[in-house]
Amino acid sequence: MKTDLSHAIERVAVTGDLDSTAPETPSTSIQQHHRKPRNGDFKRVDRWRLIGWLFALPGLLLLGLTIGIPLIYSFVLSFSPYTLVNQKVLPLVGLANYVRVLNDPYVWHSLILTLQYTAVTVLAEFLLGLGVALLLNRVYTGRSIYFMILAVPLAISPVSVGLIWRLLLQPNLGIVNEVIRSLGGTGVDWLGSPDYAFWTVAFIDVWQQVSFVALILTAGLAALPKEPYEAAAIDGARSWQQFIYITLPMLRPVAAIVLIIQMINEIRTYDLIYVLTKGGPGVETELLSFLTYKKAFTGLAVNEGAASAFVLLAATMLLSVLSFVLISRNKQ
Amino acid sequence: MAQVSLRNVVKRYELVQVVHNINLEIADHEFVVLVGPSGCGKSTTLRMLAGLEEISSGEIYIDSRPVSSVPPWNRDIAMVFQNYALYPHMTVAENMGFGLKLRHVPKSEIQARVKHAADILGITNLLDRRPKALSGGQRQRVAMGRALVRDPKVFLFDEPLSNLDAKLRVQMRTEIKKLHQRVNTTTIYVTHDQVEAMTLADRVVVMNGGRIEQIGPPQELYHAPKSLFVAGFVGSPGMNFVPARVEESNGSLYLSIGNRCRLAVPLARTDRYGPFVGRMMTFGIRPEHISEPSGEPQSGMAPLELPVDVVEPMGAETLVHCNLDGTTVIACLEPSTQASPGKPIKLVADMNHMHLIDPETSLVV
Repeated sequence: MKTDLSHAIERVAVTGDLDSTAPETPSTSIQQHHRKPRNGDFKRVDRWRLIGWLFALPGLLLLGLTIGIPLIYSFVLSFSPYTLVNQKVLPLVGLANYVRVLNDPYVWHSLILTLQYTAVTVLAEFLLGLGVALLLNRVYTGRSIYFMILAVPLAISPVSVGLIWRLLLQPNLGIVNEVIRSLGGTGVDWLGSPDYAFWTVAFIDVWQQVSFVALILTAGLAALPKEPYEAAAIDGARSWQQFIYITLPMLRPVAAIVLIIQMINEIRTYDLIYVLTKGGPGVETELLSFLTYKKAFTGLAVNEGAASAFVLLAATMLLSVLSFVLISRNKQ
Repeated sequence: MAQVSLRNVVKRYELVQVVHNINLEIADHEFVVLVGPSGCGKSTTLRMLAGLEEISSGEIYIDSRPVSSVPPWNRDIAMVFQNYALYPHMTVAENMGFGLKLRHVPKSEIQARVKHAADILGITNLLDRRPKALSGGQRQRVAMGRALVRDPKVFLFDEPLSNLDAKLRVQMRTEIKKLHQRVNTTTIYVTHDQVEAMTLADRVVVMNGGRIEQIGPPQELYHAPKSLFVAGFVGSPGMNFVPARVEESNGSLYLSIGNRCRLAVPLARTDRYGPFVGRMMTFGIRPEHISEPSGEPQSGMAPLELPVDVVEPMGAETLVHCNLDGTTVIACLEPSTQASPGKPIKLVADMNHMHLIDPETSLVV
């Protein structure tokens, strides 16, 4: 004999209906499906839900411990007088930290710089990645070798990437300046000069991240159906017209996902800045995530750091939601 | 509208030759169907004509202009694909007007031509939909509409009905025929379905193993096949083939099948089959040329008595599977037949419609 639970599982599998879990025979299922639930049914529903929650509980607990509690705690801190000197959470100070952060010209500088940095890197990564993907799409021999080479920068941690490039770009001993000098030029202080630092950091970031974009877009291109291209060729579309009218629109969903992922990635850039410039020279490369760190741990104002972190979170969420809205509107 | 000609066209993929020396002349306005089993090279031939496959050697002419090195977009052809190949991100109207847009035709004219084609195909109410929201039959109409609005020199159809269900296939087949009668554009149509080939074509090209087996009007292929392959491929159900020895007795020829069965060859064919006396040949006869005897015996009718294996009532006719010396022979009989499995049935073969095939050359003699 089947238990109530096994009946319920079967029923959910067949009808997708989680709410009514009464056991029944197939011959009466239609009638019973529409009858009013009796008291006993609610008990079974409760039990079914309880079992569901029990299964989910370990995962939820783990997530709560590692993400939920720190998130809530930092949110509380952003409303508190807590600094590393005065380590008191209460009494809360309302929006005072946010007011101070939003009145801080350095925060605004960092926010605008972060948006510029995100725009530059994401655009460069996308255009270069698309170019590489289009070229790779035509490669038939040794394709896996290209993929392997592309995967290397992705496998290196941003801290290592920063260290490698710092060595390469070292003004006096780095190989880049050495090559420039051997060609008759003068060396440049790539990471120390206000004119170059922002672009150098952006370049290194693009160098690392472009592989990810290229790999995803290559996969996207490979998944496109071939037939519309043949139809377009016969309809009169030359290669570049096929790219504009067929490839780009069909690649749009994948491209949109890549753009959103990279935007979120870049807006949070921290480790590269930490290793390469520490925000300098001056505040030329001080992105908001780095400023947040500075406020909390070198400025000792954990409360302001928390507030600035939530400003960054708000900016990231706003951009993500905007992108999602734009994409879903285009889809319709 | 245009003439199309293929001269010594060959297609090779590295070491494998898939199309061997195709020579084909297609007249203006003609509807030609390339038919053959899967892998016979018919689709490859069509794709070479479209410019989607390069030809390895030979030349293709559209309106006397060699096009082998002309890219597809400059050939002024339109093609309907088996899987429709619609642009998924465009509406039906945009799909149909895309070719015209690329040719910088004014918007108002594109709209008018799309509307006209949609009217012909009965898809006016679908113009704003995306392909995803259409059924198979509707998608196929859109694909045809896309070809139609262009008013090209040649229409190419690559198994356009294969993905449709049986009923819709018959309906669309009629519509394609109507469409050709209306617009009269030179059309080359590829299918593996011999019924489609027979019903649509002015001329049928039967292909096998990358070669043309026979070219001719449907009736000619049916009544006068030149090879074992064409004889077996054209017609449904297919022709019966039975090994038989040609024998002579008192100036008349007979086909001897096994020990017990002897069929008289009509006198008119004595000269034709005379050289094969004493040889084992393949005797071919269509199911519709075997019937139950009625009234007086007529000339050329050879009596048979065969055990029945299976009876298949089809409605308008009944197919009876019999055993002739170990070979299954199908007879297409009146629905009123009393044939029943296990019992012998008396039949007559209309030897005026017989075929004799030389097993060494596989050619009809």
